[in-house]
Amino acid sequence: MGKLDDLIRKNYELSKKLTPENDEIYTNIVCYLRTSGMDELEAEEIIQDILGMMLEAQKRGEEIEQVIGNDYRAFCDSVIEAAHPKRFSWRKLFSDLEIVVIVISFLWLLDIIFFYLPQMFKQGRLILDFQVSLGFLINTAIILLASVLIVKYIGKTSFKDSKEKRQGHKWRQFVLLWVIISCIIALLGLIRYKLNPFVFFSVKMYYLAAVFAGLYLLLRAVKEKLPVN
Amino acid sequence: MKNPQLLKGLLEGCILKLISDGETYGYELVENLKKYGFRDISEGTVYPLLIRLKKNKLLNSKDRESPYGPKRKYYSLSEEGEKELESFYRTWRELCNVIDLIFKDYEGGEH
Repeated sequence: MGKLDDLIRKNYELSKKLTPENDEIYTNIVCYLRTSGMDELEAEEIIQDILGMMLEAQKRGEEIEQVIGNDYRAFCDSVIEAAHPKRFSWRKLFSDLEIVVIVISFLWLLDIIFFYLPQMFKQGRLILDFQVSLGFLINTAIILLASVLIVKYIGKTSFKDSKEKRQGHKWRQFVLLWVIISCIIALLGLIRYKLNPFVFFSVKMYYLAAVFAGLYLLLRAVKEKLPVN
Repeated sequence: MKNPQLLKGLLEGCILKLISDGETYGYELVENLKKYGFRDISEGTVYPLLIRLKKNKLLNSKDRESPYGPKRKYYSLSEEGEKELESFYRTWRELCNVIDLIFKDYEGGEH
């Protein structure tokens, strides 16, 4: 396990000691900092420091407002500004690529479960050839793009959630979200089936699995070797 | 003090001085600054400055066990930090002299 995973796990364990109110503030801060474009290791170290401040304040019986003020977003912005993240770093590139590989492997797995498994049952035989079709590629691209946008959106709106949005509207939001998600899934399914005949090439599933796993391990290994900034 | 930009620079100098007096951690530093008269200061103000000073390699940090929660980060001055502290104080003294001269015959603040 790398240093980053260790730190994330340690922070998670320690954050259980936070009171519910402080935990909510902490979660927002974590969301905001992790999506800020800072180096992930640097962000996690800062999160550890902030968690320490919160826990110590809790022990002293103080409110978080007394420690970091009541504008959490302004506090986070001043921290980010002080850390002065670079726009480009090799570490950042590799950690982004790592996420892309994970997402693509996951989508591939879903594709096997929802698309190939039913066919295997129907035909009563094992299918090991994975056909890389236009439908699969388009869907993967759409989902990747959507995930990036959603993560950015969550980061940007971390602190809004707690006050304004919470009251009322909860049901309406839930129904709206449900409708949108169903539409998207239906659309993706349609693309997948309609564009399935356009096959670029076919490859054995175990080769593909090995490529994904190898790529993931390689990216991780390189990232660990790269210095923070 | 109301001017945030001015305060930031001065605070950085004061933080360097207090750290040069002996290894210290965030909360202790804040309490110390308060004791000297920076009343509105909190860890929220000091922490970003510590990050910046550390990023500029003026500070070293070491984690030590704390009775609560995660390890505490103790800060000490690096060699560059010592130099920066000296240059801060020199600039500050010069500035004080100049300002004193300019304000020698000024009475406005007294009332």
